[in-house]
Amino acid sequence: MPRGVAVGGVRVEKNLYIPLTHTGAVEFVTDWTPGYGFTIESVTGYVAIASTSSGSGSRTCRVLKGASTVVATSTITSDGTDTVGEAITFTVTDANATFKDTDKLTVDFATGGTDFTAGYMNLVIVYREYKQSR
Amino acid sequence: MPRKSPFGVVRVEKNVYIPIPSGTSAVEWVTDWTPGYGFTIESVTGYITTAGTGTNAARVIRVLKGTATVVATVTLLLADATPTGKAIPFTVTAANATYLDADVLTVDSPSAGATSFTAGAFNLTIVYRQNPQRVSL
Repeated sequence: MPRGVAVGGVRVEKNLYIPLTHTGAVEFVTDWTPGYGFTIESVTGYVAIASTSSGSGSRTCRVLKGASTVVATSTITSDGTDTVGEAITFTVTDANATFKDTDKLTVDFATGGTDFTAGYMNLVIVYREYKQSR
Repeated sequence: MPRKSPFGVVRVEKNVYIPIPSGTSAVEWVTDWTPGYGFTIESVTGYITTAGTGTNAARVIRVLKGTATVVATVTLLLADATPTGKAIPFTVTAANATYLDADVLTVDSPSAGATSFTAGAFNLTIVYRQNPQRVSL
């Protein structure tokens, strides 16, 4: 666990409620531009409403920097979303995870896969930032 | 853009999921959130998660300090509520945006000016800054 330090980084959560049922390519957040820099450390989904799709649902959920740089990704499946509270772990690419002041964050479902017919998840993005001037 | 500063501020998000109700009644999604520490709101943005429907639909969405001080507001129109992912920028009144320790935050939609949505939802992202504080145990 990180030790407490007087001038260290601060961890902040970004929480989003995401429906699983959209078809095709879809963006849930388009170009969020907070105006400050940060580094994503982890991305995890938690099933809020269990999915249905006859066991065949499968979509790729991504956190992007800009239009196409993949920062975190996970293939969400029916098996992985059939129990409320279940965690969906995303793979974070550390080399892409630092956002500068003007970088934009997008959360999307990539094209392809098999549609879900029900389900929601809470997406938790944990990022690290350093104290900043006003 | 903010530079790193070892004795500077920290920016934090408050995220609230907002299902847009049908009808035109007033609604509060957050009533009197009282964190007990001071902060200043810098930006408020919604991101559509479920596209809106409803003929000529319109709702005023507000972030309040106390019961009546408008900190941020937007009039959400049907045309703004699609497609999924679209950003809804709120207008922040900087003169009202600083909350003291005992101030309370409410997110609401008044009935005035409302025309019913029949579907729609968005994730609300409030970014605020705070200064380092003592831990009160």
